[in-house]
Amino acid sequence: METTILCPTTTFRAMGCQIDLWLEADETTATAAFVSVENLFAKNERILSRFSPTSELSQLNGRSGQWVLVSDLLWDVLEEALIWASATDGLFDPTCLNALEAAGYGVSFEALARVQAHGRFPSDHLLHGQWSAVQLDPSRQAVRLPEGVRLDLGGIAKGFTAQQAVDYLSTLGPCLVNAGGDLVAGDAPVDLPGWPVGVALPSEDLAEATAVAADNALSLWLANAALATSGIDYRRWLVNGRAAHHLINPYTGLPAETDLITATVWAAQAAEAEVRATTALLLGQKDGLHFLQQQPHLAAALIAADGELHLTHTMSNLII
Amino acid sequence: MTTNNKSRRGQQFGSLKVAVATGGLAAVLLGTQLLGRQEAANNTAVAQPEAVVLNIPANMPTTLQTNQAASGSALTQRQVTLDLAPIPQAAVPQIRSAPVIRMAPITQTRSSR
Repeated sequence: METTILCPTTTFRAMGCQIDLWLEADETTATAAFVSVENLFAKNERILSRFSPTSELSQLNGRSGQWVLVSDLLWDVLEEALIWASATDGLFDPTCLNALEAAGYGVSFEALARVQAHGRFPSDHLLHGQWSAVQLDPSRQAVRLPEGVRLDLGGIAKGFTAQQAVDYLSTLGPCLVNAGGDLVAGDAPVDLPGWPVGVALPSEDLAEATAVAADNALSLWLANAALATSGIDYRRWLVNGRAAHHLINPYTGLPAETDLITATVWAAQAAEAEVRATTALLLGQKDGLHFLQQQPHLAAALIAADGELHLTHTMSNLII
Repeated sequence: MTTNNKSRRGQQFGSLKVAVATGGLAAVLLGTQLLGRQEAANNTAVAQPEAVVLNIPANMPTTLQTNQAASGSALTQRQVTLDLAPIPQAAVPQIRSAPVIRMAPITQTRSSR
């Protein structure tokens, strides 16, 4: 039986990427809801962006060593990031901003694509891997970063916002959010088992930084869950003639060396999908797949440098 | 006297065994009929086997049986005949295969961009 989904949809840019929304509701309801979600992304970006010097995150990063009162949003996202840093033994590290900038990722990727990055690879100690030294005071909702340490909440902030958007849109009808390649779904569309979504094959042409859809390695139904991909196939640049990318190994402070090109993880919530995809990429094909196979609440598809596609058993069950 | 006492005790044991066997089988019968009604209520297809007649020898060994009681008295030759309703053998679920829905993905997950 061939069928199609006909429901209101919209696209806009926020947080350095393209955001797509679908909401199965009447046009009037959907139009108003889309405006609210766009405002939500804009508001969260103003608070959580590391690229804007006026963002609350940048203000916090500029006051390391001091106690700083923070907003509810920054508190919630930072708390979630630190929980995941602990759960992954620091493999997911929100304190990697110094290392990321040292690797050349000092401006938004949109700006980076226009100019040659003038990064330098660190040769001595950098302030990263300090997540366990970040202090939180719940009674005052205050944060103290260790001296010199700065935060990057990029991926988890985007996932957090996408989840907020789906939580809101779900009160109006079945919905789907694609935040720069990270998907979060509410209820399935009427008469369907989920939203039909694909897992893209890695980009072969690194210079082709476009939003054009790539071919899919596999397809699945997504409902009330999230699907995130972390990869080194897109956000890459050259530093002194050497390839660099945005995925930092927190133990070395350098762009990670991995035999995976992309890691895609299905999870109940966006934050976990995002974190598990990133850490799987850092672990590499063998250890990443082994770890994910032990997590029955997750499903994953890993694409290795040799082009091989590796699936967990749970992912095999989800494929259309 | 000794022979009469043994015979009376044998009769008592025999009656007890008949009562136990009859009661047990009646309970099984009632339970089976109840299950059969539930299956029918669930609209499942139930295989209907032939009715069976069980002949239960009264001297069927039980843990209560003594060596003396087991020896051939007139009572041990009696049989209890029960006509049992058909026992549902298997419930065959009514499985209908779901229609296969084919649809191209409307979006895709990929590296952040």
